[in-house]
Amino acid sequence: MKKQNTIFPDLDFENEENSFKSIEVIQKEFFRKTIKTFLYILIVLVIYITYFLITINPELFENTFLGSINQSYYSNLTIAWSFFSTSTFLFIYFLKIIYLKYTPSLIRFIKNESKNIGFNFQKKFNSGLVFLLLSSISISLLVYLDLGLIQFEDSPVGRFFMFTVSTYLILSLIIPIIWVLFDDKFIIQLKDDFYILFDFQFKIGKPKKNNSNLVGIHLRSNRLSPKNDRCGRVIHSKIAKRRWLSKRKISKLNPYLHFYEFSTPLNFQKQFLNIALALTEWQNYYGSRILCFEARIPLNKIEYKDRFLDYNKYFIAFKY
Amino acid sequence: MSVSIEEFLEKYYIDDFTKTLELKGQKKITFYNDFNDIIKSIARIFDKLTNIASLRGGQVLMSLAKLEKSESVINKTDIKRNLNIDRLEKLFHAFDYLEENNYINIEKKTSKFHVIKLNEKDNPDFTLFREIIQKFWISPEEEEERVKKWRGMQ
Repeated sequence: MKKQNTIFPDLDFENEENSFKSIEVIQKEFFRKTIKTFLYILIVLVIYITYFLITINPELFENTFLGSINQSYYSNLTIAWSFFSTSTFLFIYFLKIIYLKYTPSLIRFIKNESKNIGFNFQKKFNSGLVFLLLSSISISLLVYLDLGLIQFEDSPVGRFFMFTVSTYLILSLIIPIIWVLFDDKFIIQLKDDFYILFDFQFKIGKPKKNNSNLVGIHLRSNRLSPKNDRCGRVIHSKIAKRRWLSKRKISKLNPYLHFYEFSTPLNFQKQFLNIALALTEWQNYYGSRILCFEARIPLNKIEYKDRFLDYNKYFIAFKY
Repeated sequence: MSVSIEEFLEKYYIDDFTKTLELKGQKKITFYNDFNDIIKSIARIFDKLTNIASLRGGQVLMSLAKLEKSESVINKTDIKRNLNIDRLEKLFHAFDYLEENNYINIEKKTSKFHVIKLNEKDNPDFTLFREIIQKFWISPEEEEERVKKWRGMQ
C-alpha cells in the first residue's frame, strides 16, 4: 500500500494483503472520526446545559466567572435563542456525522476513482450554510426586538406579526434540521436532473484475516418515477434486470422508483458506469411509445406483426 | 425477458433430427434475434463474472448453478466442498458480496445452516448461465474425482 500522503494514506484493494491494510486504515479513521464527533457533541451539551442551569439557578455559579456576568444577559431573547437553536442544530448534525459511515481516505479513494472516469464526486453538506443564513436573519430580528426597535402592539395586526416572527423562528431551525437529515449527501451529478447518491458500508470491529470485511459502496440514482406509474415500473424492471442492478429496498414507504447498484472499491468504476448507463437508458425510454405501449397492453393482445416490430426496435435501441 | 438455451433448442427443433430446420423471411429474423439475444446474454455474463469484486465470487456462482442440478437444498458447506476449498472463511467475502448484489438469496435456517439459492427472479441472465454451467462446466470437486479415478484411487 502506498504511503504518499501520511495524513490520508492511499487505499489499495488490488490484493488481499493490501486490502486488509486498507480496511484497517478505514476502521481506524472511522474510530477517530466517531470519537472526535462524540467529543463535539459532549462540548455542545455541556455548553447548553451550563447555560440552562445558569438561567434556572444562577446561585450555582455564584463565585465563578459566569456568575459575575449580569443575569439580564442570559435572559436576553437573542442570546437564549442563539444558544438553543445552535446547540440543537449542532447536536443533530453531529449525530448524522456519526451515523454516516465514511472516512477521509475512503472519500479520497472514491474521488480519485471517479475523477479517472471524468466525474466529480462531491460532498454536499450544505445544511450548515442554510442554518447560518436563516439564523442570521432570525438573530437580527431578535436583536431589533431586544433593542425595542420592533415592538408588537396588542392588536390583531400586532398579534399577526408576532405569530409570523415566531413561525419564522421555528422554521429557521426546522428547515436546516430537515436539510441535515435528508439533503446532506455524497453525490455525483451526471446531468441537471440525474445524479447518483453514495452510501458507504464496512464493519466497525477490528478486521480479522478470516472474516469477510467487505467494504461496500451503495449507489442510488435520483427519483425516476412514482411506483404506481406502470410504464415506469416496466422500464425500470427491464433496465434493472438487463443490467443486473441490485434490488436494495431502502423503505417500502418510498413512493418512488430508483436504480440501485452495489460495488466494492475494486469494481467501483465498472458498477458506477453501469448505473450511469442505466440512467441514460431510462432517459431514452421512459415515456417512449415502444416500452410504455407494452406496459398498457398485455403482450398476447398485441398483433404479432406489431409485436415483432416493437421488439425489433427495442433490440436495436438497446445495442451497445 | 429471460433467455434460455433449452427453449431456443426446442423452439427451432434444433435437437430434433426428425424435423428439418428451414429459416426464411420473418422466421429467419426471429431466429437471428433469439440467437443474438443468447450471445448478448453470454457477453453480459462474461462481463459481470469478471467484475465480481471477490476472488471467489464467480466460482461460488458457478458452483451454486452446478449444484442446483443435483441438490434441492444447498448450503455454504456444499459450495465449499464443490470448490475444494479448505476453509469456509475463505468464501465469506464472496457470499457477502453476492448477497449484497442480489445475485444469491441466503435463507438463514439456523445460525450455522444457511440455504443458498441463485436469484434467477431478479437476474434473468442466470437462466442461461445455469444451463451452460450445468451442461458444460466441470467443478473442482468433479475434476478431483476424475483424476482420482484415472489414478485408480477410487
